[in-house]
Amino acid sequence: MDKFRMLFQHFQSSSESVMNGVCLLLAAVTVKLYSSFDFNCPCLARYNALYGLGLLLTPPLALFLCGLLANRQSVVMVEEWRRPSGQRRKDPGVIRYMCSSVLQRALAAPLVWILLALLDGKCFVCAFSSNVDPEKFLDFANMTPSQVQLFLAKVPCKEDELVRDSPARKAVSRYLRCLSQAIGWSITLVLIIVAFLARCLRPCFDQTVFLQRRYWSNYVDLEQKLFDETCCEHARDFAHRCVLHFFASMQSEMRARGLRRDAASRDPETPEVPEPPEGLDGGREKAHLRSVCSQEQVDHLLSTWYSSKPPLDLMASSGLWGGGLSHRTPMVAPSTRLSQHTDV
Amino acid sequence: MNGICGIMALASAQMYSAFDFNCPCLPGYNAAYSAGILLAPPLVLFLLGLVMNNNVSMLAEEWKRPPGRRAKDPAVLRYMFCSMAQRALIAPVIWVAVTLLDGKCFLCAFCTAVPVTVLGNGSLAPGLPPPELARLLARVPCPEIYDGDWLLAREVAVRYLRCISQALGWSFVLLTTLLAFIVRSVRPCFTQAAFLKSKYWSHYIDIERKLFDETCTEHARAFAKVCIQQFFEAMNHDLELGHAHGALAATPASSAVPATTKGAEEEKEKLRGITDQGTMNRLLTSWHKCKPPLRLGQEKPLMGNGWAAGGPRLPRKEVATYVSKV
Repeated sequence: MDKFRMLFQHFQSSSESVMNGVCLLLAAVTVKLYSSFDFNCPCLARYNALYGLGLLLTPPLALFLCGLLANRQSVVMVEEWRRPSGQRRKDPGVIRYMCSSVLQRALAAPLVWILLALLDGKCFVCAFSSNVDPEKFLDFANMTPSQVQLFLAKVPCKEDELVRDSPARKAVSRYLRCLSQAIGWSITLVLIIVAFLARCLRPCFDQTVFLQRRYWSNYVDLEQKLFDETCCEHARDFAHRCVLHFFASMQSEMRARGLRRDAASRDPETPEVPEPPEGLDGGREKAHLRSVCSQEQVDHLLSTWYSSKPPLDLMASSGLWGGGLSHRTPMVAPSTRLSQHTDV
Repeated sequence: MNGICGIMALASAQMYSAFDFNCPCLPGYNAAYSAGILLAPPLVLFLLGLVMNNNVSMLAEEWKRPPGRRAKDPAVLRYMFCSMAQRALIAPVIWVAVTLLDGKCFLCAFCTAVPVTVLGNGSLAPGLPPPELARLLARVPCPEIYDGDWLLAREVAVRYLRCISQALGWSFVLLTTLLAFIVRSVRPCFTQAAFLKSKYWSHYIDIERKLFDETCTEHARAFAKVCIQQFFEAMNHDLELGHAHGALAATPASSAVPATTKGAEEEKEKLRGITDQGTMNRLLTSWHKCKPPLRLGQEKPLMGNGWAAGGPRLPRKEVATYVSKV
């Protein structure tokens, strides 16, 4: 249980780890999906190729889209791409980096499916049994071309009465499976070599730029998460205040109607105005509200967050945030500071 | 919410594998049975998904409440409905996908529509009257009663229909993932600012409802406590009046007072001045009919010496928070 929790925490530690975790999960789901899928070749002339190739390519496409959907960073990337520049310049290199990391991770599950299908061989046998050259096999010498075509179409179906226990069927099937597995292993080898080279040779090219882009893509993701969390905290405090105010306004309304005579006569020490509890709790709540305490102010805050994200310069930003929400322009031009940050 | 979605999706797949499909193998009934199996459980799963989502009642409340002092935002209602519907659609989609990929349902529905001339002994098919042909083909899904091997090998028909069913299944899966992907990726290109607002306010409505319920529960508890204390005090007072000439009358009264004052103070604070049934009822009616405006500063004139909100916040504190967290 502890190990599981530690593993879970490790995967949650950064956005890259989360993405890797999702990628692995999807790959495991793909393996399970393939093993539980009941392959059913139609064993008819034109349908075989369609079925075989369709099964080789359609699930990978669906899995690729699932990989993009399951990855939170794809949405963050599109948001970063489409946002107005505002006070924060957009760096196309960071967006490209995020795009490539999202695509790489989304490609894992489709590749697992394709490799499994090729190494298993059923798809390949079904798709290409009609395309085998009958002259390679001696058993077809006595058959007419149409008979040969019919026979070949039924090769993937072991139990069909035409081809049951036929050595010719077994020969063709073995031949196609061997081809399929050869292709599967070749693709695996090529992919692994490419991945290895990419990983080893990357530090030779633009390492500093790569480090910067990785940092800022992680930053964008974390900032979005933190903004969502802060909005949640704010909503909670806003709601709390609203409810307490409502109760208090009821009481003052009653007082205005002169209906508190019984309570007044019984409890003279009850405070006139039951304020929300001050002290540690009240102070923390007020800080969370951050002087944003009406619908218009919240809407304005959210629109500003979208249309004009603050500059990546905490010294300049602190001047802007000092007076709560305001329409003042910042004292220093943030663009010069920004270039310092990103080109270091 | 996402946890419940995942559980329902798994439950949907498990339900299908546990379900014992039983094709009637009769000409008129096959299609009806299959259509029922393909469409009724997804509908049930969709409604179940909506029912299990606590936010449905929140949506209904927000939709039907009188505007009062707080305007209703249709964008927020749409956002809430869309997010609930999306989550509730996952289990039905899984059911339909698993049904099509398995193939039994499709086989049962379309066994009478198999092209016998192409797949079987085409020469014998025209000789049969259509009802007889239909009766024969309707038995394809049931191996133990199928008697048409002379016309069409059962395995051939089953393979053919299952192949088409699986092709449809994968196409359905691809279409739904494509649709979900487009909706999710294209949204930030269009209505991002409005989306942020709707998300915030729908979360706010949820939290506000929960906090109101908590505050009412707290109030009810305090109300009950004070009510009971006052009842006991009144009983005590009556007894004292009854034993007015008794020596023990004075002592319990004086010793009782300090004990009740300490506990009573806290409880009375929690009552926030609402101390009778009529007022509480009026409060609850007012909460429904006329929700307070979303403006915390406005209560100042009513309160008099109210709280000092809206002043400048501490900038240093905010900077420290950002730096230490990132």
